[in-house]
Amino acid sequence: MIEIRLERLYHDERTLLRDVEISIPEGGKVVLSGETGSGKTSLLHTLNRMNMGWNGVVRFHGNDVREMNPVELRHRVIEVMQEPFLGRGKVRDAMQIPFQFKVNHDRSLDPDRLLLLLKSFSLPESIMDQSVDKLSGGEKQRIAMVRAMLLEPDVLLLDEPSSALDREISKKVLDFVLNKCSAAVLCISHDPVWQDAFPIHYTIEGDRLVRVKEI
Amino acid sequence: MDINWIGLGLSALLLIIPIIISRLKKLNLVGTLLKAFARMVIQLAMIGLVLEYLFKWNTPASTIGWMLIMIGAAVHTIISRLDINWRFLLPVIVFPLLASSLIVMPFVIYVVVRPEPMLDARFLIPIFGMVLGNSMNSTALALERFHSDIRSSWKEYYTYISMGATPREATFGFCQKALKMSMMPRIMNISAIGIIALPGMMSGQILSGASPVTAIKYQIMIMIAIITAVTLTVFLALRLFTARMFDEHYLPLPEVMDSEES
Repeated sequence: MIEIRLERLYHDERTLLRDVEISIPEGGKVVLSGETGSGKTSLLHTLNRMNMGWNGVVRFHGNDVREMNPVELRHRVIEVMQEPFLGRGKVRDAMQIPFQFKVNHDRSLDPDRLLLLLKSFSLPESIMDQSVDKLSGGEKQRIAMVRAMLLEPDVLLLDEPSSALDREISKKVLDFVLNKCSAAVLCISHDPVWQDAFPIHYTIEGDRLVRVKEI
Repeated sequence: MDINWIGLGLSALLLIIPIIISRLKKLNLVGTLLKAFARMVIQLAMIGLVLEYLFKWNTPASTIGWMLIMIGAAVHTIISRLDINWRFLLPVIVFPLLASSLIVMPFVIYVVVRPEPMLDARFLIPIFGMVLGNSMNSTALALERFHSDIRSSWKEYYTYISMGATPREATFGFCQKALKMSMMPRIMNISAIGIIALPGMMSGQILSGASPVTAIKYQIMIMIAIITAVTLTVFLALRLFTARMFDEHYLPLPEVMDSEES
């Protein structure tokens, strides 16, 4: 479903990566690691066209992403940023934001799925009435993931999703992402527990992308 | 009642008071103050001369030509006030100012006042000056606000487009804030007129002998013209700004995003 073939990934004039090849099947889970500044996020962003500093081809369902309408692409391939912006009001309002976009006009927030997601991520239902700026970093990360998953994308791009989570909650989120989420996942993580749990793990060494293991 | 030139010269004696205060308190403002006055006198003398001729000729070509020069000056002022590439800004400002002028001014002339002749410079130029001056100020303020908001809250923009928003959807909140900010003080101002201050135009008309009722009617009309032109200009300018600011990937153009850095 996803094919990334890059001759070169760069930022300004600096080459970050060469000869990248990743393919992810429908529902496939891939984790990506590497040092800070090695190009993990830039690589993640080739898929949703948030970064255009590369030569090569990136395909989604066989289509060259550069030729797709950005809205079409980004409502199927949703990113959760490391420190996501949620909104300005209550969590409830933040959850509704993407449903107000024209591309989602025929969809609405599914309350049953919301409850299931909150529970799976160890969030109390009452958090919906809390103000966004009172949330902790870990709560923000999980709320952003819940919001992304409510949109039922084909692909989830996660950037360090467990960086602000404690061990217990991190495990629960990991379990959900790997076993109960139908979307393909491309996840950046420096957490060894996450890296070991994903079936496919790539790491960046110098300007090369290396596959760590395959099950 | 005219002021004679000697009388006007004597009025400068009053300036001794601010000059003494400035000296006493070591404000270091005497030079600045005198320079500002010299500049004002020269500018007013020049504009007075231009207006004399424009009123004397009073042809549609000279009047409309002067109005275009006024638009040019307004565009220049906005561009120099904003820290954004002028090539990017030019169409963003020119079209809204032209469009709002072309909607508001003909309405005021042909529907409301119907002066004789229709394109009377004595009527058109001062009214247009007020409408344009206000549109100019509000547009500069609104674009400045929009630009700085989107740069400080870029994460908000990125989050929205990364979930499938168009640039217009992703900037809705920024546009809303900028538009509201440019309208609110004017609305406040409207409700204060008459109690707190007599507006300049009304005072001027009364001083030059018009009846207060005529002055009031003009004042009401000009407030309507101004708020309409301001809202329309700012709205269109924000629209064009948003349309031009993002590339085909909906990512912001670096020259607009980074203009203050370096």
